[in-house]
Amino acid sequence: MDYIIIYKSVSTINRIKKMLKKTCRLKTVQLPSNLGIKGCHYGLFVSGNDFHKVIDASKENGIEIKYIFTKTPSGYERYGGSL
Amino acid sequence: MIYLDNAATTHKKPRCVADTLYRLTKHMSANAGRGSNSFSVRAGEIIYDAQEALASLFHVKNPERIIFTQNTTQALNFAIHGFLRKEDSVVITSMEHNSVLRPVFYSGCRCNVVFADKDGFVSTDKMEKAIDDGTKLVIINHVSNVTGSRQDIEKICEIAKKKGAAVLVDAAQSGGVFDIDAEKTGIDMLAFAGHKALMGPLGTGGLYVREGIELYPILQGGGGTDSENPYQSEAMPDRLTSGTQNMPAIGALASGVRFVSKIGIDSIRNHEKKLAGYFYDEMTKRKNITVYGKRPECGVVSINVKNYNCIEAARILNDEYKIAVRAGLHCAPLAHKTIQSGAGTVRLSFGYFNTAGDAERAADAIKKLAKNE
Repeated sequence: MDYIIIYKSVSTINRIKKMLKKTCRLKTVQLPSNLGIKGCHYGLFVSGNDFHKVIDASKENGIEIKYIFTKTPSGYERYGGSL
Repeated sequence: MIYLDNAATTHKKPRCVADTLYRLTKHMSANAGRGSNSFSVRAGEIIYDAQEALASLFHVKNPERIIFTQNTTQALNFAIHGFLRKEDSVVITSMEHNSVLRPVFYSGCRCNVVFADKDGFVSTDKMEKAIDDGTKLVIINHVSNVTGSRQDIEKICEIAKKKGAAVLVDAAQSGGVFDIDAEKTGIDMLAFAGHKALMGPLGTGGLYVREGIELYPILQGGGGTDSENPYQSEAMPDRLTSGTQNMPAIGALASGVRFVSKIGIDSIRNHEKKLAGYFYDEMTKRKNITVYGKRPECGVVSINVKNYNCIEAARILNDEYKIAVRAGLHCAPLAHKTIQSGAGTVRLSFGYFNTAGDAERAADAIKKLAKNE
């Protein structure tokens, strides 16, 4: 399963990408407008293999995650799992 | 031509800076944060790399607290007008540049000016007396662009913290010359020039704002995100960054910072100090030359030659000796009052790319001028 993790700014996305450059394949994506998210236009596309690395790096560095979505065949759903 | 106006902007720039500027302009002129096309995303990454380079230089943990501006003046305006309200009280020193004096004047705040001594040094005792419980902000010029005198920002931050005042450091001349640990020192905001000692292209500068300080955004507009919000984003750096950023110049600034870090701040400063020190010593030996301030810790020396207006002396140095210097008030009128220079000084500012031969030629030229008085 793939995820889109949403931070407060593009700069934060770049910070995470830089931190995990050697271990994860991360991609900046523009958020589909039908996600219903206000205040954020970009997210970090993360594969299932890298998901917990990104979550852990965010927590370790005190970086706030605003939202997480999972990518499903029919679209995106708010992540319901525990962090 | 010998260039001795490095306090205005450094010349020459390292090759890596010019190469980066050219490469990014030619191959990557994309708008950061505008869409998720590969060019735009890469442009954002380049800007983030630069934030990281500056954060590392100033020992700041979170690179997102660094924003880029066109110069130190713009950064100081962001900080002063974004932090102060009309009813606030501010303490500044007589060594401030007009980039502080004017925004503070326009802010309408009550302003207490602490005068430095004749050599351009501000007494921390005087600062302690001037800062009271009602002081909202202390603004301090770290290194003077007129005398090269350096203020004790560590002690001043300590005093300000005790009184509950925030501190804004103008590091236009000191960024890349002295090691500044913004977090350890307790600096709340730090304005820096990219195009001076950090060796970046003209039109680069920036501001560090510590976590917890939310500046009112004096520049408002689009940032490529949070577009439905009528107000600026609350997140840094977006809050203070509106409009298209000069990504190639910011990328080239990062190359300059890496160059400075590779050579070493101390090595660069020691080289400049050696040249300026030689020049200072030669000038103090002559009776027709007035030298301002103490023997320099960095590359800046201000002088006057008896019976020559400083601007006329600078013209002769340029036209007859092919030496580029800066004369006048250097946008720091109170600093000149402080050092009692009258109509201003001839300032010679040595940089990393100057040689001992440059310092000798400058000293010889001024000695000849002094003989002709």
